[in-house]
Amino acid sequence: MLEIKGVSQSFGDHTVLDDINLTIRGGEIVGLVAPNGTGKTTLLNIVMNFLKPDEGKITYKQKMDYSSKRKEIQMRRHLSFLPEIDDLYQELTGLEHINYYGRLWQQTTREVEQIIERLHMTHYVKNPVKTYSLGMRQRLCFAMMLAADTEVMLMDEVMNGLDPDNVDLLTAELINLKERGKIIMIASHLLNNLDLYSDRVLFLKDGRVVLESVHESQECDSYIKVTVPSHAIEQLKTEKPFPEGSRYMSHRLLCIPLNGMQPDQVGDWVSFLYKKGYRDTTIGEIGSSEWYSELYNNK
Amino acid sequence: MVAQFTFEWLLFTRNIKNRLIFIIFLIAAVYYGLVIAPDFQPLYSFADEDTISERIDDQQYLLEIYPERPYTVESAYNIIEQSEIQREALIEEDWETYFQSTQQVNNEIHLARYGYSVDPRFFDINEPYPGQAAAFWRGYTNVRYTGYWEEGLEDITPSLVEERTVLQTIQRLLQDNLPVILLILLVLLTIDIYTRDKGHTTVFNSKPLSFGKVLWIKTLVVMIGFILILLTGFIALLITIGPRYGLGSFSIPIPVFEFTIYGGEFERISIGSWLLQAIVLLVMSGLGLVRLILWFSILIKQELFNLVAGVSVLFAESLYYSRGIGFFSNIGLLPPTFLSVGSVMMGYHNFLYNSGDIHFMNGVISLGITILVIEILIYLTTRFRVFRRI
Repeated sequence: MLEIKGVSQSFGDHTVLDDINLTIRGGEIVGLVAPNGTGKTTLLNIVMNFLKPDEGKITYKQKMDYSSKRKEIQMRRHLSFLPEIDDLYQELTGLEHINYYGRLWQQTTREVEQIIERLHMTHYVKNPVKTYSLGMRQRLCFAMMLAADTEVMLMDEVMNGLDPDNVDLLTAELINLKERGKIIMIASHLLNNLDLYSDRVLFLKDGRVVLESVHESQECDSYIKVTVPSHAIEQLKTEKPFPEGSRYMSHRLLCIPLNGMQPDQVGDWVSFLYKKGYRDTTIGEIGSSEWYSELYNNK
Repeated sequence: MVAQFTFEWLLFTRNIKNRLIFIIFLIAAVYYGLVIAPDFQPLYSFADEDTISERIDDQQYLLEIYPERPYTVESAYNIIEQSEIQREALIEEDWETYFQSTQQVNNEIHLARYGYSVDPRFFDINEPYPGQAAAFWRGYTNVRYTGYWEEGLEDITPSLVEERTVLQTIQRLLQDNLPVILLILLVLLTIDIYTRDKGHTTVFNSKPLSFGKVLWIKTLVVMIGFILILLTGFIALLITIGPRYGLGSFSIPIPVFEFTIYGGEFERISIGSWLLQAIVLLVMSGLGLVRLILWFSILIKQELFNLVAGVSVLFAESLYYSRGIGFFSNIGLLPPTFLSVGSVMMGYHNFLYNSGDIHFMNGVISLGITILVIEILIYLTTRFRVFRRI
């Protein structure tokens, strides 16, 4: 269990993180979402102890923390951080990078060959990194983390520069890691993709977690969603009053909760909206991209 | 640890600068062995039968044309007499007699040529102490010759007498500027061993190893690279000089000057011990230099600063040394003094400083204390978290 306790961080007068508390259990993927420069990477850096917070602490399994140099090394044996693509060594090959991470954390390179095959890196992994494209480098960084195979994995923009096929590939790997009980924190801007594998998504704003979106298959979280222009919403409400818990998000998305609704009532609402000309009706949870629009673009 | 070492070694060997240093040094060593070493002019060449006979003929010719000059006649008779003894001894391989007569002949020739002036081969232009310099090198040569027969050395060859064998060539080079050249190469190998990680923060800062261990692994990698360069130089000289002049024996006696208040005297040690002690001093100097540059790297994180600071340390002795500094001063025990490894080992530094203290053991103590001080500085610096992150 990874615990972030009362973490605060300021740079000058600018408070980036303000009393962040978070507990992540094994087999859980937590997504971090916020616009650039609002604390996602700072939080990951604090969890890795790259940055010492002004206040608060990080503990793992309740007994490990960064309170001394010796304990820091002990912590690091359980944590790994997705390397940034610019941090790779140009003159070395991908294979040498992956072997390095495998040996450093697991004292073995036994799994390396399988990782390379799974990530479709066989054809280029023995070439120097300087010959790689952005996507190839990104896969290499991910492969390094897989080779390290630590219990806690921190990733900043893991899908950066990947084509859709490779996004799917890494998504499947992340789901696999989750099933193996890993604790994973991911900062990402690919919000729809984040919803596919994350158990929780935290939205940071003004240094605080303003929303924690939990992805569980429960009816109370599902909505009938439809795009309605802001000038038409009042008219629509007059014609058919919205049930309690309805939301109108980002001046465009009407969300009607399914909570307690009978199947024929669902059909009534879909028919009503269809007759009014709103034909992009969907049923599902409010996704991260919708929350993002609501929280950050709602002017 | 093994993972980090392997990774650091890969980076070290893939570095173009390091590869160039290795290749250039190899070419220079081969060039030295093939071109410069055979051109070496010893102070006294080996006198073989032909040379001695030719000398006797020359002196007899002088007797014939200048019978009226008493000094010439006396000198020629003395040279002929000693030369005949020398030739006889050479034929019978009576090395004791041979070297004794060689010294006698050399003295006679010097007297005939220069009188009581100093032989100009012993000093450079603008040398303020030519008499002392000549006395040093003549004493050095005499003790070297004496050592050959007193130590009962087998296989005395012209190459050995002229210090041309592989081992003697290395010893001569170490007495000259080779240690400084090698240490400059070491500085060049070290300047970026830490700073190159500047652009790789997420990889460098996340590893599950202590910062101190990583620094030691980097030190080990550089020192192995340095020792490889030493081995490469040795092999290059072995291949280029060995077939021509031989390897030389590890028991060849080497004169070592020991200063006394009444002047000084030469002792002898075997070239094996001499080289071993020289390598110990060289490696200790190298280790101190690497750790010092790593400390600079942690503090300043600038390769150019490392280069300037590292090279400055090598020439730091010039800040405090001046000829005739006097035996009352202990300034010669400062660590930069011992970077001139060969000069320290042969006692030439004792001769220059009028000191009896500049020798191997004091070098080990001085450099050891320096390394210890640098370690304390590194320890204190890395207690600050900001210096443990790149």
